[in-house]
Amino acid sequence: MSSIRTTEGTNRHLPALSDVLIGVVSLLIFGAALLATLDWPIEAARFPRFISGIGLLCTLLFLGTLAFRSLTTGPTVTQDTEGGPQESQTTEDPADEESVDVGYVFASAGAKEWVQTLLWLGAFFLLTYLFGVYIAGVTFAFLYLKYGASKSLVYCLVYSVVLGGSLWMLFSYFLGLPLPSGIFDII
Amino acid sequence: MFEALASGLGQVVQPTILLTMLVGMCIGFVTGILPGLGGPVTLAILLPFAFGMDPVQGFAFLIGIWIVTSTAGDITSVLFGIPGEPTSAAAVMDGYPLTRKGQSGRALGALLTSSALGGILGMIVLALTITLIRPLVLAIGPPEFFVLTVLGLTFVITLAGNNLLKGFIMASLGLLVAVVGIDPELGLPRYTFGSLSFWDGVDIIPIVIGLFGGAEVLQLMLSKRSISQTVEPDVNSLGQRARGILDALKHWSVIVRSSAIAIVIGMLPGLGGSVSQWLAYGHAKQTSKHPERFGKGAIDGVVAAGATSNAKDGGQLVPTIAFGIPGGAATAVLLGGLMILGLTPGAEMLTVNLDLTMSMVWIAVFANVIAVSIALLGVKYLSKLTHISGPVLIPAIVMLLMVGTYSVNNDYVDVFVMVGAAAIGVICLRWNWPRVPFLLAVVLGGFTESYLSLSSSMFGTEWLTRPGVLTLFAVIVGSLTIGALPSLRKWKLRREVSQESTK
Amino acid sequence: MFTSRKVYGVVSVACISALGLSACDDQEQESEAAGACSILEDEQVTIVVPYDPGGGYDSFARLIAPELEESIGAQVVVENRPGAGGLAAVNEITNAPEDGSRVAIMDGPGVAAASLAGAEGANFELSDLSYIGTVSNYPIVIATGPESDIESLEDLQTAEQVSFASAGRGASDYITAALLADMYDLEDSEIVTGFGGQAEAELSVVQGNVDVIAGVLDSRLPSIQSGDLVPIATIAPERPEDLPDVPLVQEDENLTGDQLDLLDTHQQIHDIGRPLVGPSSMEEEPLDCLRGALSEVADDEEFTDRASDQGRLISHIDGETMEADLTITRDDISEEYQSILEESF
Repeated sequence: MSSIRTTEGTNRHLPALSDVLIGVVSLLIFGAALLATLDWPIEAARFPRFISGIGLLCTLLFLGTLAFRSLTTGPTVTQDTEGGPQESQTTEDPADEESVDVGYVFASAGAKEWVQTLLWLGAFFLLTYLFGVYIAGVTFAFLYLKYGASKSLVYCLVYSVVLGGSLWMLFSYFLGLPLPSGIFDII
Repeated sequence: MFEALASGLGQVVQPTILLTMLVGMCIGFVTGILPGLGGPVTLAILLPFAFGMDPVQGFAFLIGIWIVTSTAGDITSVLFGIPGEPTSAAAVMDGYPLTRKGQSGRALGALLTSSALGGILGMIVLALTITLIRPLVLAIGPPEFFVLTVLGLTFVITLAGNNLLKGFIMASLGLLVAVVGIDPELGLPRYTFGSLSFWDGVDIIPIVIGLFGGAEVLQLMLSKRSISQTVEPDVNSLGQRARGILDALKHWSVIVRSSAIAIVIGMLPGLGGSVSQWLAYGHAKQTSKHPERFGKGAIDGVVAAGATSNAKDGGQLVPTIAFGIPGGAATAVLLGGLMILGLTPGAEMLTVNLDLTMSMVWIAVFANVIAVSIALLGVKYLSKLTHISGPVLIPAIVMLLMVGTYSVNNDYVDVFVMVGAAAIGVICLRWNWPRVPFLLAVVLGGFTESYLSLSSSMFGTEWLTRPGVLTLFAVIVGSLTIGALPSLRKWKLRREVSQESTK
Repeated sequence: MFTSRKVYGVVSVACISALGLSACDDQEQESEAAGACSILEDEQVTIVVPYDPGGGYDSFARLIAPELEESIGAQVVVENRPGAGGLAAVNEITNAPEDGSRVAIMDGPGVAAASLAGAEGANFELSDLSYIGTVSNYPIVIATGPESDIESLEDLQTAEQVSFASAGRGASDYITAALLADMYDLEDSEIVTGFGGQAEAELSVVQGNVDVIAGVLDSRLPSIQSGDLVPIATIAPERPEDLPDVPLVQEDENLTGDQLDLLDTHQQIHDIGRPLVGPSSMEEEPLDCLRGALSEVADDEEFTDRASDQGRLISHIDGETMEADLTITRDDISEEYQSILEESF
């Protein structure tokens, strides 16, 4: 949404970089998928060839439209975006729409928040891979609440122990379902 | 038949039976709200407990578990934007935006009401038609299913948002994901990257969890705010709930139509609930007076998605009871349950044991009503969860998503699939690409290919002229026309605008 | 604070339900091993099921788990590990620890066929497994729809065009169909695949869209009992208990020696049934322990009666016999059978 806002004021509007990038990546995916079907017998290749062909065509058309629009000028792009002016008017409370849109959160978050968040999650996955979900979950809960949410030590302790304990009760004790274990399998 | 209905009711209204049902429902509720862990798994694990129960008690236990899992799955969808069951994904579309607006009480009220009504409708259809349904089940085969999947895919146009090409690209990507695995004719692995884990295809559960749950986790971590963006005073939630119930009743025709879709699709082994929810949702959007509000908190969208989640159960029980052929994964386990309880599906269940069949109907109706009443009473407390600061929820949600994904196949590959789907979900939301066409295509793609190949190997080209196929083709053309009208109008408008601006 | 309370609520609900069922932790009381061996006592033994919860294999595993638990004094848990048509779990089990802590129940005929045919995805030989014993063994039944023109084996042999429904390549129903087509020289036969599962394949025969379905009896039994499928013949050592009036394919007097040989090999492969297996490297002590325990469980009439009440027939062949008689190698099978297998993948 915001990417469009930035182009709105200018007279000559370039296509959103994100659209171009996603388009090019899709183009590569469809191309590779199409190439892969060439090695298969026709019975197996028919359907994937058809859909990757369609995908390829749509992507080309999409990129073509972007290129065409960036060469011509006009306010068309605003019509094209979600929540364009036309629609906001029909909703009861247009001011509310913005805060409800999750995409807005992503667009407005700063680079620092992004890096932090992804590091937290990456650490959780790494811990799970190494030590299994119990240790990873409890450690993550404790550390995240302490440093990510600035909660008190007691709160963090109780929360993480209760979380790990209830998970163990439910999955291992009552249902007997296996949970992800790590390569250093301690529990 | 009415005798059987009355006798079935008599057998159900017993303290022990109702108590057993409540026990089953408690378990079902817990596993239902957890993403990943769902009805079929829970039933399979608890099936042995049904041994030694008498049939009606066994039904009460198993059906209690089964019914409540779908209801509970919807609740997670609305409150956290993360489907508790793969059949609850459509409930996220409009239920979650309402929650963000602080209207979770209203959304849940509408959803639960429509889910109960849908469930009861499903059971009424089951009771009325079970002795007559044979011809219909026998008449619908792979050709009709193929056309149904095509109909489902045309909803990409409806659900794509404002940029159709983006919708088509996402749908094509989804179809590619659906093709991963062994091909239906030759048994050749396709796009499996040399990993055996992909031979059976990409599971839908990690995709749903990643697409919705992953995005949600990131959103909460980034914004550090509560899910609900506006704090409405608690007193209101009673009013909200009542408003939601009224909303559902006002949209009774949406409930009836959505339920009908779910029941008919449920009657045949194959497509199942993860498809029917989208057909119902897409249909509701097409026929709505305000299609532009869908995806932003349209109450009729919530109602449509909710109605399918329990309506499908009645449909799925039909072939299970009448043929001994289960209509879905959960009913496959229930069929095992029937045999444990010493019952033979088929003619017997429709004649000698018709009262037992009817007792199942009653149990399902009771389970629906009880589950929904309890959930409605709890709405006030459940809604509070959405006012808690986001970071506090994060550790629990992250861990549950991980566990839910892994327990699908006990395979780490699914965790990677989930992370990949999460990335797609976030990219879509951030840069305004539609993610629903992608999900819809993943759900439908595999079916489309195998039903097409089955149709031609069974019937050559003759299947094209089957009456069911022709009827459905007519529906597609109709739906495409309806779907295309707004875009056409917009296109025309846009041309006028641009012509004016160039002048 | 709310989340922890919520999670706590979740657990207490589960506790109440478990109390209501009063059967959740019986094993705690019975820690004393009743069986002869103690090597696995207080250990955890996992039975890997190669398919989703709720199917036949899963039911068997969940049926015998508590019995084994009692017998060896270990905690026995069931783990579902679907993938690659059941091969993922077997590939995994060939590399399992040697201490017997991880075993699998498998689709014997399917796995044997995949290994013998050298199918892609089967990265093992049958000798890479050690056999604890068969849990169950089902005859193969050949069935048609209630309105089908094919009412007997003769009809099948003389029919002009026959279509078989199969859940997919490599499945027992596919190989059996390929065998019948080869044996009876059914030139215009076709094996229709692409169904979402057994249920759909079965329905297509009930609907009359496909003529015949051939596969193991237990998944067919409900619809045979309901009259929606009509059994025309079985392949088994003797007529199965459930279908005393249905002839065996072998009973046909016109069969040539070659045809009988093919059937024999097919039968031999199906004799493997659904065994519990471990890695071939499994140490002797736990292997013997598990073998003894499984035999004990399978001999317990109270248990087998209970299992058959649930529609699960326990039929046991002990591990030693299996190892001696049932490990088939490529040298044991005729070229014709080998080619049938290879065509089936």
